[in-house]
Amino acid sequence: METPESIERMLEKRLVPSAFSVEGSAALESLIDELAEESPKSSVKWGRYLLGAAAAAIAMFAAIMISIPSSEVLPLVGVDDLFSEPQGVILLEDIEGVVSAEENESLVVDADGSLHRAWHVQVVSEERFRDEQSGYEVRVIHPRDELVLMPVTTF
Amino acid sequence: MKGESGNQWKQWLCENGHRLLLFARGWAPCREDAEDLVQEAIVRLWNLQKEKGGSPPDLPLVFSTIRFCGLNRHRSDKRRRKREESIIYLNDFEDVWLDPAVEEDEEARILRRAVQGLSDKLREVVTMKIWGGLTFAQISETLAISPNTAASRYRYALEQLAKDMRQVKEERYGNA
Repeated sequence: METPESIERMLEKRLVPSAFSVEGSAALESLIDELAEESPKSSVKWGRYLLGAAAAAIAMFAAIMISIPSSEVLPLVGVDDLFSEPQGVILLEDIEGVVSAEENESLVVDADGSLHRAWHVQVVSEERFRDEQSGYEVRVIHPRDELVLMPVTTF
Repeated sequence: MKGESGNQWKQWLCENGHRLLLFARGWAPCREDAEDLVQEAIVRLWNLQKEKGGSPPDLPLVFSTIRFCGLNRHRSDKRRRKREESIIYLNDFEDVWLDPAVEEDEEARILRRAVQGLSDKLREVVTMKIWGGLTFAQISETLAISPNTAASRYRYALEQLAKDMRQVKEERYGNA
């Protein structure tokens, strides 16, 4: 006769978590090596962020222009320069993460009739840029709320 | 120093990797995806721990990070569809979450199926308690629930597993 106590003992003694696959272990090991070497530059998707970097630089440039009296003439980087030399603006960090997640009690049915459980998820994405010439750093933060539907497979 | 940190993490993964993988299975349709999820969590944790001296993190934080990474993944419709399509995968004989400690242990195999059949809420508490070695206080911190709720879910899961085991045995061997 099984009891919760006997089940607990069985779980502890007779079942062990499956190990990583050979490929998974190798991938994990090389990941640690890469992280230890600290080569984040190779993993940055430059093409994707080039426009974003330029836009951030323009915003920064505009902010500087507004804050400086017109009589002062400073050797600022012009807009044309920013576009012609976008490599001067470096994406330092691009993080996106869930900051909180709360499960709704009710179930949701989609158009196909599949049952889903709704999660209210708050996500924040953050990009950090640096202008190499001026040394300015800009952080662009986008917080947003999302409703994530998780298919219900067990009851 | 960097090499030392890498070795520390490798050693830590040798000791805990299987626990993390088991927990990640609750958020992934197959083993490969669960392994990807652990990797994603490791990258995030590495960057986080860098500011704290670079040592490997505590398990509650890792479970929490895997859970958030899993939620992140589910936000994509494409991945959601893939998960739905892959439900059959879970019942594939080769694609199991747990292994019997002893070969040919029929009772352990029945129990394994029962664990996989638990609801997500119950299974993650059992996983963290039994194979993660977490206390109810740590589980409650990870799941943002009260310690009493964590303990109740655990107790309820054990009762459900006991009931499932009795039922399967009765079906197989009768009421002898």
